[in-house]
Amino acid sequence: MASSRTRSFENPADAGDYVSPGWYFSPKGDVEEIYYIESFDKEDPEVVHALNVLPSGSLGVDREQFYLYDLYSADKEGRIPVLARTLDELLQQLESNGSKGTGIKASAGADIPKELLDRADEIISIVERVEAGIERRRQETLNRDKNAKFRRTPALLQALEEDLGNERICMVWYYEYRKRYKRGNGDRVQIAAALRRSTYKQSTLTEAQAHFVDKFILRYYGGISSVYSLNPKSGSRTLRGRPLMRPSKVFKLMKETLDRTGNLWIDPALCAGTVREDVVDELMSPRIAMSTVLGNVEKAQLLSRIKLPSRGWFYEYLTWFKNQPGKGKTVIISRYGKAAYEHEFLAFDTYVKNATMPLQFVVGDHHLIKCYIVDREGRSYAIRLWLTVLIDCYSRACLGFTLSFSSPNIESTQAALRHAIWPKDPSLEIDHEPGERLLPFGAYGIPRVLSLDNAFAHHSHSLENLARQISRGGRLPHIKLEHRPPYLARWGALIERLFRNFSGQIRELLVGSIQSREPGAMQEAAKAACLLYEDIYNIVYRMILNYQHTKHSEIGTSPYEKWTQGMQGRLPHVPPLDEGTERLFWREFPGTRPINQNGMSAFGLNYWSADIANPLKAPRIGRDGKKIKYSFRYREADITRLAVFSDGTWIGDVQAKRFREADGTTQAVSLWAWETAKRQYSEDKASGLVPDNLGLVDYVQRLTKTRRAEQIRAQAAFQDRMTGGKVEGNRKRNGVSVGAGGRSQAPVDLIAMEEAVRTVSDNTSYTNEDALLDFLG
Amino acid sequence: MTLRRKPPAGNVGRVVPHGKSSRGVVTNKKGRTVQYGSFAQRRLLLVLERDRTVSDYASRPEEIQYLDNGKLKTFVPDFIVWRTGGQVELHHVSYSPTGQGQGKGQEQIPAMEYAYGRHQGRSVGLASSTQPWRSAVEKLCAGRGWTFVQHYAQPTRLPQETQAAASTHYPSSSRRAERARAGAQANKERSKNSLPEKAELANLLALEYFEPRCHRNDEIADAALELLQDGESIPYGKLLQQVASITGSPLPRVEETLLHLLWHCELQTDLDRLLFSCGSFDRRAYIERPD
Repeated sequence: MASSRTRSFENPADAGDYVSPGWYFSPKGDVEEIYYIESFDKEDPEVVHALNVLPSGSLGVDREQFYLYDLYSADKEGRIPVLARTLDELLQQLESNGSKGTGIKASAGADIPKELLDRADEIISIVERVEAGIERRRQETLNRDKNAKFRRTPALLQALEEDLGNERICMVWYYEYRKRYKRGNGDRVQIAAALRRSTYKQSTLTEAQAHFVDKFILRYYGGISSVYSLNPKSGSRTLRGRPLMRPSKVFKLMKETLDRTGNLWIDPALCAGTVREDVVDELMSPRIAMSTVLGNVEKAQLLSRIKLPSRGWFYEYLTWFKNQPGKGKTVIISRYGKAAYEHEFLAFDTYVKNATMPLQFVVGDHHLIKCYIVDREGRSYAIRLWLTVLIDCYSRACLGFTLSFSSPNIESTQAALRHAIWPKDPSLEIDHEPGERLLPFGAYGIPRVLSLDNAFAHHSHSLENLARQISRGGRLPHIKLEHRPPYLARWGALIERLFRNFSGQIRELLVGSIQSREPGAMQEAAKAACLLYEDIYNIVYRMILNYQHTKHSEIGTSPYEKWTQGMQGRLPHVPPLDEGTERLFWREFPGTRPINQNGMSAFGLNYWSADIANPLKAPRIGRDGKKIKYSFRYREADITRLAVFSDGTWIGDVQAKRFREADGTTQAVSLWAWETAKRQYSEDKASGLVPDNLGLVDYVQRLTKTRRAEQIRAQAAFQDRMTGGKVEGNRKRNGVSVGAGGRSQAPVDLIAMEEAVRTVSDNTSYTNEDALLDFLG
Repeated sequence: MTLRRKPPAGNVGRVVPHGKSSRGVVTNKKGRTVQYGSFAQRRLLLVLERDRTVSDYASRPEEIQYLDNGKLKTFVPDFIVWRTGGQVELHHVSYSPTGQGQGKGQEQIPAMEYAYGRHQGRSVGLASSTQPWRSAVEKLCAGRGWTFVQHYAQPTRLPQETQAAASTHYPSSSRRAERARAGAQANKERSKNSLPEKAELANLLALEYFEPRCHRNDEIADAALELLQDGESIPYGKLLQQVASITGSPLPRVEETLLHLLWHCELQTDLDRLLFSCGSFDRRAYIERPD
């Protein structure tokens, strides 16, 4: 069993409060592998960060993480970790356990200079000698007279005078020594360690220098929360495909910046709490002359002169920084405040700052709603919906949204745009109680700049053409599509925040909502689901209405009010929502088709309508003599109807001939259903389950040939009977073979048949039955 | 494998994401879809869109091949511009004019500028006139009678006169136009600093809102142009009131038209000071007709 200060952990339950930073442990109970516990992880208190102990007894640089459980549970081979407060104690314990190693030796104070240890020895020696002298004098006094009063101070002075010999010290020094002795528990190493200067291993950087270094690491080294991937071949790290800036480059930048600024940098100590990020940006920007910054007295007084840290120090600091998992945010917030962190990482602020009026910048994104719904028919098939929302950066008002069963695609973005552009009347769009007053939606219009992420669908020609064609040839605004930098989710933070808001509400309110990421929670949610699509639509709509009229903490007013205020009495210009405009929001087919005599072909179907039959409306041949090709848009949910466009102008709709009903309408067939049917047909055809045209033709040809030959034989036999010897010659001439099995009887049969027919025709009293019986027998 | 969309018609390729730069597509004055690969390019598009001497422009028009240290490389200019006079120009946006061509056939850009370019979403371009790609482009342009124009996202610190002269290419204010006349070296340097910045950029981004023709009312426009016929400058607020009283139109409608005229350079003001605040235009800004 372990001593009071050293312990092998066999019972995990009682070890949690035993471990503390500064302790040593051997995970395998082996002297060859010893670690020093540096700290607990702030994010996960069950994780400790430890440094390896080198054979010399000093600490290495390799940091490792251990779970607390690993420190007090045996491994697979039954080896029990050993933990102790000091290295010496740990080594003693390991030795007593029978673990003998040649590597690490008991070397208490190995990393403490000899002078300090000597001085600690001296302190211990003096204090113990003096205390012994005092004790001896007290005993002598008591031995002389039991009632005599012992006075400690004279005894101390006497001991200092007589017992220390050449090492004699004054009383003040003795008290100092005694204080250190008590603080170090009389331990040589602890006393020696306490003799180090107070700034030992403390950074000598000023606050401004630290800010300077942190800023460059955060901005250029790639950021703490960046996603790295490792190239197994080269071993190089990349930030999702992009090369990271190397430390040497970052250091070079730091040097260049200080050269440019004349060693001036913003001093957080002079900033009264919040570091001014605009000044930092100006200092880091090579485009802004330092004279401009210094010309502003307000800014200039925030600057102080700093010295560039040494390259070695920078590398060491960077190593430390890198080894702080998930702590970058904590470090920066604790040092410079939340504003600095947000400035660095929440780039969405750019949009907000630049937007000076509604609709100038609009951000769109998709979100998988954390709630299951069920299908209408069976009420058992649980599925989640995708929410696509467009939000105005100036007013934070929601412009429009759509709910989709399928993952983000061209149609969901276009449907959200369709909802965003025209005015919305909640009383017509959602279910409500009679007499219930619904809040107005407010925001609508054509976005001038629509910021989207880098989804493949957002780079589609369909969306690009919609963005162009909605302007009606420049009369109305067109939409500028802007794609946020890839893998930088923070550029969409404005809308992500809205999604977080909605997610929280959905989790609180709805049955079937997913409460956590655990698989069990997902199953529970799917089991509990009972809401339908339209329920979620109504709920999301109402949540957006509430959001529009709730005070927004960042703008100080509700999005609706901000929108109204920003519009300044103007009304957004939108095109009339006619059939042609409506069809612009269908998905555009990535190609063109000519119109021929069968109409227009697409998806393996032929389409036709009176609109494209009119050559004045849809001419087939251009002036250059070539066939004119038309673009068309469609809906995946129903491909029986296409909208035909010529140069962005809607010509008309065409219907699939195959699915046209008697009344001129068409039955809806989704693209998926049609493609599945086609695929199934191909598979059946390959396995020979369906008749094919070629087979039919071949069959008919073979049958015709046989019948033709039979016909010739019959005619030849008849002729032979009528003309006698000429028959044989005719047979030969016609190439009819009569030797083939069974068919040589044909002439006999024919003669009998002809006789029967003649008899019947001559004798009118014969019935058909009589003739047949006569013929048969 | 990366999925890539086909580029818009007339483009040789899609712009690819470059660092933290944002990219996108716009519809130009002729209804053509134009790509941009960085905010610097977007700034140039603002200029081209307003320039009345530009009849049309397109992005990434063609691939130009050149030899660099024996290796065949390809250069794609950012834009091709057709002027109303029939001239054709190739425009390219680079980050810095100070880069030096060094080794490995690649531009060595000063570290700080490179990093700044990455961070701020500027395109990091190549600049030195000694570069193989540049000589290839210039040779091609000379052969076709075209002009090659290079823009820099990072401004060159030119003398004031030259800087002002540069703006004559894209006149944005009368004051700048006056100063422009004084610039002797204008023609040589003017293309180097033609991208709008700071206040001018913010103003243009806001004015762009009023680009569509739906914001124009001919009656209001005629009244405003008539009021400013004699070359006089009128504060915006006063002009607004006068036009509204003449035409009897509501103020928001008048305002829309005036801002539409400002975007289309039918009116002008000093764009170097910030004119938009909280959605409203500075009432004290002087408006005048261009020369």
